[in-house]
Amino acid sequence: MLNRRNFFKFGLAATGVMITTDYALAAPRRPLYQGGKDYSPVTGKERKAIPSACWQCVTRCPNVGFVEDGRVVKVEGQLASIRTLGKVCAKGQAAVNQVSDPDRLLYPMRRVGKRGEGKWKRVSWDEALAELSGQLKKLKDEGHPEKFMFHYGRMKGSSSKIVKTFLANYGTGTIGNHTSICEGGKWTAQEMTWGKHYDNWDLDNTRYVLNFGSNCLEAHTNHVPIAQRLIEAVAARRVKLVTFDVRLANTVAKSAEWVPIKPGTDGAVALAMCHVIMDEDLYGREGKDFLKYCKVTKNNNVGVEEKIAALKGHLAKNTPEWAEAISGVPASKIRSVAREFALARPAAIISYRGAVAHYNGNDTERAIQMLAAITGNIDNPGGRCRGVGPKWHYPHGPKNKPKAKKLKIVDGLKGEIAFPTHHSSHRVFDVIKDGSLGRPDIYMWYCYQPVYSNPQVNENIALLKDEKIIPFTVCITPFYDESAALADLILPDATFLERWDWEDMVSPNQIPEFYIRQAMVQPPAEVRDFKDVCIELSKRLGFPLGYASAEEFVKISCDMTPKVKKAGGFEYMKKHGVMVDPNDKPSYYGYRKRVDPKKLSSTDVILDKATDVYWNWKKSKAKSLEEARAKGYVHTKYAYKGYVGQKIGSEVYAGFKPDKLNKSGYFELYSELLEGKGFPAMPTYTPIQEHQDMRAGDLILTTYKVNVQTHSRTQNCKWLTEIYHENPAWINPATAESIGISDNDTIRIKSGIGMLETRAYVTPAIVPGVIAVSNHCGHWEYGRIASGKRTETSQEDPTLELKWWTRNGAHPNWIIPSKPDPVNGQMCWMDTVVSVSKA
Amino acid sequence: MTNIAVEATATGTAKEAVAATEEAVPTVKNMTPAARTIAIDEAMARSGLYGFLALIYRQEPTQQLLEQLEGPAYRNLLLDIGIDVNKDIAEAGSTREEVIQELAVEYAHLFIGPGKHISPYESVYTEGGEAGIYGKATVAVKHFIESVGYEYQSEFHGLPDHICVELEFLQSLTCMEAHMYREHDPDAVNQLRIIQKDFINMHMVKWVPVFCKEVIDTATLSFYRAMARLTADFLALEIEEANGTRGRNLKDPRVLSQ
Repeated sequence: MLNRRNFFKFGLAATGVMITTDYALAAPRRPLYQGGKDYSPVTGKERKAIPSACWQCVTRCPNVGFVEDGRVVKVEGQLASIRTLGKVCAKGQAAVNQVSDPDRLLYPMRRVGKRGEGKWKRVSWDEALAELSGQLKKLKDEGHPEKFMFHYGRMKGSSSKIVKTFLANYGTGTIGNHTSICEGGKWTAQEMTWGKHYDNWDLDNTRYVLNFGSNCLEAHTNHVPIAQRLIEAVAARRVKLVTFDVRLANTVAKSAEWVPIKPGTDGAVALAMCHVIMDEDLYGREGKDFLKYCKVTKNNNVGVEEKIAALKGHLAKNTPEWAEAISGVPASKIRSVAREFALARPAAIISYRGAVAHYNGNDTERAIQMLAAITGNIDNPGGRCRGVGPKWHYPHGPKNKPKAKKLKIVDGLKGEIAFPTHHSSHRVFDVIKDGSLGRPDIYMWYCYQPVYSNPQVNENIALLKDEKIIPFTVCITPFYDESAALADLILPDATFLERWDWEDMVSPNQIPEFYIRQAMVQPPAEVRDFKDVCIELSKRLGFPLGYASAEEFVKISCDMTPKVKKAGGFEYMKKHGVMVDPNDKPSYYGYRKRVDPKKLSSTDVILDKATDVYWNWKKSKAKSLEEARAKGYVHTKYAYKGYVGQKIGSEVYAGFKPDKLNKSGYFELYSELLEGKGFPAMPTYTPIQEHQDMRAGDLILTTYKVNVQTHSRTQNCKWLTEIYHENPAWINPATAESIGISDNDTIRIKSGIGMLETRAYVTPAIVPGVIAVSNHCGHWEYGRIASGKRTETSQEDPTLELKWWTRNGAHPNWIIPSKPDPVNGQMCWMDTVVSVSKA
Repeated sequence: MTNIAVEATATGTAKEAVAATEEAVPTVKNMTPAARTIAIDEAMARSGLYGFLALIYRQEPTQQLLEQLEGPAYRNLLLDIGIDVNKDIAEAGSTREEVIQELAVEYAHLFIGPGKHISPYESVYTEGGEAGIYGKATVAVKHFIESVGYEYQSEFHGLPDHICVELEFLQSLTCMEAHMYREHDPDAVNQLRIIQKDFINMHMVKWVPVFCKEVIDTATLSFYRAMARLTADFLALEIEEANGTRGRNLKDPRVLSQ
């Protein structure tokens, strides 16, 4: 007879008294939904979970790969990561497609016939590296190592250290990056204001978010961490997010308000907001306190009241009405947002390429820094903070390095750019073509697409194809892309799921997280991690680096880094993937630390009278103390490397340590460096001449990114390209009507250098007078999925069985000219004036 | 089957208690405090029963266990469910040492051997001609348990699908369920109940009733007969609970069979 009541009375009595727990089984310590071990429901085999790090974009989220029978079958987020809180984005999940791409390069390839002809033969690694090291040795023996140019697109963490050690020991400093087509200009503006770049926003603690031109919920250098925390703030804490954008991007869709704005005018709006805040005395105690650490006048010895007066004076003309006429943003809106922002306390301002990739982008970013500074929202909880990442220790390679020589070809043509602190590498082909600054004999690129990712694609192809201008071209890539097509030698690189690295991307909450990338599977066939190739090249060229492989480099680094070693070193990192020191506290207000007087007492440390900076002259290029004193801090090359502290009043503070430029330790809104080169010292709005000269009917072409693709590297991932494979041009209905265009029409977009044919997407989600084309589509190489080209077999291609889409979009870079910001060299992606007509 | 209302607890009313138990599947989201208390008690009671049964099959009865069972706290509760502990113990021997030894001999005779015995491992019952120890079912049970997030203790030297492990698993899950009621976490409660239901239906129901019947038919001592009967009866209740058929007419075609 079943009597539940009696059963349960006994059962309840039995608990905790006579029964034991945890005899055979240990209960899970994680929340239930996170599950335990992973078994394939189909095969029953255990999947090994291998913590690693993504590389689909620069955020480099920690991830976990699931491997079954030596294959990566799934990628998920790393639950233990404080940065990503267990998430990866769609791109991260689609990493699985990278490994299994049927168009992967599996062997080194050597060009046969003319460059660009498309004829290739396979060569062994021995052959490939014998030829390459032979060429490199020849250059070095001739005394011209600088004629070996290395150009990378994405190279971070330990990859950057190993490869740069190889280059330094070889003796070349002719190194290009991609930063100018990214947001290099933002970094330069930051170097002029608060020193070493990278801003983070403490969204966990903020009360208001103002966003100029960033689509961070879809694309951002710290995408998943920032997007999560921003959504958390907006949805859970009802933090108000106001976004200025020319387009209703998905970040705008999640904002409380979209403020449409004319391209390139964000600087005017930011200055007008500063005007409102100063004029109405809304800077508050936080603003006043922070002003002590700001330079807003030529003379440093002024009190806060004088600084306030100086700011008011500078901003007097930047009224909301003035900004309205320039930007189209109503003056009342500028006032209300400025007031909200100032009174939120604390508030964060996000800014990115939409605001910065313009001819006047440098001062736009400086104006935005000013907005944060005058309200005290710099390096504070809830504000715009100095980015914090983990500090790895690592082997530095051979002690006796040659003095590296370099061709000065990555900073634009002579005199073109005033402060190319992050170079203007996208100009390199124009500079090589010009020839007056020299030309490399060997041009090698790695994780980069000089042809495709840069503006003026036609000119890129023409230059790279010319065997007389650059005699030897070498490409390192996992996949055959538009640039590889113009290489003489292709070395097949491993995908990131097959590589070892330590990683160091910034945390969103001011607490550093150490993490590694470990190989989930072995690279197939003869594919090799380029870092291992560099290590071998170093041996062949006679300067072994001191470690046998990238894996060993990571292991040594784990042992050398105190916090990591303490946690358990390499074995710990392999097992857990991520490590955070539980004793670490979030880092804020670093600038207020007082400098230890012992550091000032060294005889090499001198006080610069002009700037009140304490600096160690020996770390600069000055040859003597007298020279250092005579020239002074600002005018001594590399003086910033010796920065020790900033004297303010009678104290010496850590201040805002300079990087790349001889800035003082103040948060500089008044820049003597800029003044010295004929630019306005304080943030100033300069209209874009091209836009002033527009004729009736002209439009401004702008580009943007979406959440499931990156610029050029993800279109071979079929899961991603299935979602996004077309990029019609967004155009406002009023604008469309005025040029006689309807939705879905084929249109022609014509710039000064070319014409692009694409489809129109007529939508009110973009301001009138602007046409927007994303930069993800239009590959003509990079595999059958990205390019839409079928394989050359007579039968149906089984790998394309599920490919239902037929359109491939259009690549806007063909018609965008290569223009640098004259201050910092940033590529002005968002300025191109075009005319649009129906095809 | 009659639907017997659970006796009201100190903090609830009889009416609420009846109302709470009349639902075949409790709705967790909008529980009144009284209903929550009842749910917690029920989950803990199940946990206690599972734990007790796990203990019985895990090892020979100890002096301590016998003393507790004979003690006033449990003797009457056990009588209410048809188990006369004193009689069972008296049957096993006249002195305490004798009882413990006889129970140990019966334990071995039933569950270990040597020679013919009633195998306490799922894989022996479920694989037809291929039955043996550490079979496919053993792996399936191990995978099921590990997928939820449990780990086998390194000190545990038994086989993964021993009946005491399966019972311990349910003991832990039901204990967690009670905890999740306390934590007001309806999603976790639902997830735990699904895991319990799946494990009962995919594994326990396939062999435990047969195992129990064998023990009842084979045992020489009434103690183990009683324990096997208790196991079978409790599992039958659990199966009903898991499949939402409690208190319902099983001949009703509207009742879903899972």
